[in-house]
Amino acid sequence: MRLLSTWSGAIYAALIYGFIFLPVIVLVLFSFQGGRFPIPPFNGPSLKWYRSVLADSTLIDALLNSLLVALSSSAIACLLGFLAAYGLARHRLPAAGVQRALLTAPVTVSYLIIGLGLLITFNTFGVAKSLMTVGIGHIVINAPLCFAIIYSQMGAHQENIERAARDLGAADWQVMWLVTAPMLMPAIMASYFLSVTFSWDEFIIAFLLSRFDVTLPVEIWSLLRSGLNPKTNAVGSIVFLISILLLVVIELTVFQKVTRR
Amino acid sequence: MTADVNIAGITHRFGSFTALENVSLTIGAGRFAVLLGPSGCGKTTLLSILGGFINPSHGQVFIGGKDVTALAPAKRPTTTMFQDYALFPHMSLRDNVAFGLRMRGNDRSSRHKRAEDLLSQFGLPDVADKRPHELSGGQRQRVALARALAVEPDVLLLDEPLGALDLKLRRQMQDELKDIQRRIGTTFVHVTHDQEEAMAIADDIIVMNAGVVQDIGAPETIYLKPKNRFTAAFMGEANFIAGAIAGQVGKSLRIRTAFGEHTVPRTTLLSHHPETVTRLDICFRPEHVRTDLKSRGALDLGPAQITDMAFSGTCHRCHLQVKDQTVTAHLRQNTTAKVGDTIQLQLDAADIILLPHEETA
Repeated sequence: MRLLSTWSGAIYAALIYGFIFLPVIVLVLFSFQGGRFPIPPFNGPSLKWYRSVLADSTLIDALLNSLLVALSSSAIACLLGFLAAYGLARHRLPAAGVQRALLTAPVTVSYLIIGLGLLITFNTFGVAKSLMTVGIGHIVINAPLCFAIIYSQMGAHQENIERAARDLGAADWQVMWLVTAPMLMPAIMASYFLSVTFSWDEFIIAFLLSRFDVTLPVEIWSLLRSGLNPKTNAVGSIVFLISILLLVVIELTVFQKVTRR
Repeated sequence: MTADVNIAGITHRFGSFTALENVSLTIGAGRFAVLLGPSGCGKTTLLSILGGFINPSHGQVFIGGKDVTALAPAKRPTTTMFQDYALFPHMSLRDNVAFGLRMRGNDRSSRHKRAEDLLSQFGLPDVADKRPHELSGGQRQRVALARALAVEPDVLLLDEPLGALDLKLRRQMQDELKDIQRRIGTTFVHVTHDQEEAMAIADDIIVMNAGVVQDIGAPETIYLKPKNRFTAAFMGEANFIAGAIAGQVGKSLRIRTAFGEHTVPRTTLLSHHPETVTRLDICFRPEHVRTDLKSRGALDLGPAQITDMAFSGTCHRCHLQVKDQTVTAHLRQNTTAKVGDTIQLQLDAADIILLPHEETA
């Protein structure tokens, strides 16, 4: 009986993980395909599709664009999230509850709606679509996240420490820069890397708000329109690999610190 | 550096709650003053007002003769040692202690040297590179003290800094605080709810209750000659016997109680005027109960029965029943009395004080 439950548990787990990871495994596997189509039979392994990705300057440009947008928009989202969290946690603001709700509300709005809204806004004001507009879109979706993470880590204990800094002669910006931000560094780093991850593989907003310079997901999408090709598998694997690397970075730098405290 | 503190007519309200009601007092330069009172008495609010963290609803604060009421904490000649120490967790101890000097623009090497000097002065050499979480409670406290004193404030404010320490360490830190204060001469204003701590360290004790200053004086005065019933009861165990003034004979007063008429010196009424006092409470401490007096100063309250007894080391603490009144008494360590025994309850008239009767709520 116990054996049965152990086995059924193991099978259940295998099915679940298989369901989640099989598509990724297939994607990665067929990026090493030797032939021209990413379908069985597998006749590899071969790195030729990776070579062709690296030789494709459009794809490499898109990859660099993606990195640029992810790193810079996340930095701004983090800064805005931190300032909002500091303001709401440390000052008595009118309708603080409503403001807090408004700040986090965009998390619940679909990316499509946010993208459309920004598209209409930029059109109205005659702002040309570019990487910057994509970055702004990503700030809109990530700032609420950064705010929520950082705000959740601001406690009364730190408030007393900030008071001590002020008592010893620190001005407001010095308190924030020298005391509050370093104390909240784990939360700030967590929200930063999380927004980098989200921005890195975001498609809809990037698609709606970009024109000539595009990010990697948009470039992959246009690649897919010309039919399945192991090259898309290869570039998809690269995207996946970078996401994994980010995850490892978060795990090692941020959550280690959080648990150590 | 040191300065006197002058609090003039401070009233503070939180919404409809009055935390401080018209508090005025002066703390001399270089004194070790203790704000003492039960929780909610307003002592911490008063300290926060001195530090500049709370703006009082009314009144002014002068430090060294200068009106600082409107000054931000950073601009005041005060620093605070916080109850939870509030050390910067992400900085080394050196940077913690040097923080105030950094804010004042001292260069790195001079402030680091000063921080290291202070740390070793406070018994923490060779730990400058550690972080606060690597220290014990007592060590953290010293770092907090060093950090607050590094900028040489005129007045150091201490917000129940010993609350989190165990008894032995607390005693030790009391001695150290007192020693440091005497050495550097800075005015210390220390908040506590522990009357033993207050007596152990204070030059001046300021007793507070319900937002009002009840009594100010040296520990001995506050304990032995409290101005009112609250102070008497708060500073330690006290017995109260209701009475009235029956007459005045020269330098003596005749007082009447349920135990008869007694003659006591006029001075036991402290500064109160006999004519203004109709009902009074005779106040005496458990250690003032005597059983062996024969002299003229003796107040005889008659036979008392011991209802219970506990040995507390320095004495036997017991409850006595005398008529319908219960009295707490400390009998001598070597007493032979037992529970159920009847003893003669006596007081030395020099030990008692007479307090005008207050209606207790």
